[in-house]
Amino acid sequence: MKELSAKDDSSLKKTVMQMREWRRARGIPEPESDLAATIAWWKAMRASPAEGGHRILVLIEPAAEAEYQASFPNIRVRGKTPDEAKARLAKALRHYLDNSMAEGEVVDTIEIPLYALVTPVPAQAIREEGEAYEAGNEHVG
Amino acid sequence: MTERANEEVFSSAPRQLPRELDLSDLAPEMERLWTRSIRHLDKRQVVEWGATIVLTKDKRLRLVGIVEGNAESVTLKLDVDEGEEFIGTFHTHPYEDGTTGMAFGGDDIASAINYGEKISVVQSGKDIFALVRTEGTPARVDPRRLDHELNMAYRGYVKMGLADQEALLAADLDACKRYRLAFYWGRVPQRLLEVHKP
Repeated sequence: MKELSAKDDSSLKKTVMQMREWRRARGIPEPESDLAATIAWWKAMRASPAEGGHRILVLIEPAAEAEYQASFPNIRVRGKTPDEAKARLAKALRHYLDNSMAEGEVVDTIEIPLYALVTPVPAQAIREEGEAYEAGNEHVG
Repeated sequence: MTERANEEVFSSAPRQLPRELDLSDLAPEMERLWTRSIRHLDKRQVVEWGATIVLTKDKRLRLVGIVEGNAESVTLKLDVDEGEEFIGTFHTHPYEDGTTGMAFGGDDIASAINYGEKISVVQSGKDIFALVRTEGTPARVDPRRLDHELNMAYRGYVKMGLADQEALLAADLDACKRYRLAFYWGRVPQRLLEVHKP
């Protein structure tokens, strides 16, 4: 008797259809797929799990009046230094997720604990950029 | 480093896995099976095709036991002839609406682990994905649990704004990290590049 192995994708296809319906119900268009970009994003997100949580790739950039802007989808905060911006983003992110989950919006979307550390990547480059900015040198705008 | 896929590659410790995977021995047949997977998109008729990957006496990879499934599954015959070594499986992922670039489902990954596949390959359009077993991969997993984990991760990634293909890829990579599988991706006719290794 031959050994048989079933490759059953019915569960996946059902989930794909459910999530397409989820998008449609919210008027969210189907995003364009870019697998190479997804791989880079996933690697950055999963590369260095921090104690008690995963690290999240966030954008830190110089803003007006010697401030820095840290951003994550739906959240933007500012601080006088990159570290202050990160700390404020972590607090805002936790608040945002707490509220969202309380409303039943993102219960199964976030794999990270709500108290995860939020760390820019690469941190050293951000610091150097910040120092250069504060010193009045060329900065990345 | 590029290595032709062979027995040595599939028995390597993770650090010895090649940066690129050359499946050129299998590529023409895989492409033929993909083409046969799309029957009539206008009538939403697709069918999965699959086969067993073996290593022949002359150390080349070959697809044997080619079988036709249905729109969402295919059942593979894993027995191989004397003198040939079972390496793993290949199957296609067509979608009725023409969506391509869809990688492994949770059941695909679980069966690859539980049936001792050294490599499991999926082709969906021009995208080819491969899981490679490592020394750290468990001998057995709970298929229902893995399937549930992957579907939940997929849902999460979609809600974060990723496209279907992107969400599935990210969920697959999470599963590979958890179950210590290596993951490769490439587009026809290029070689597959290492995306993740434990």
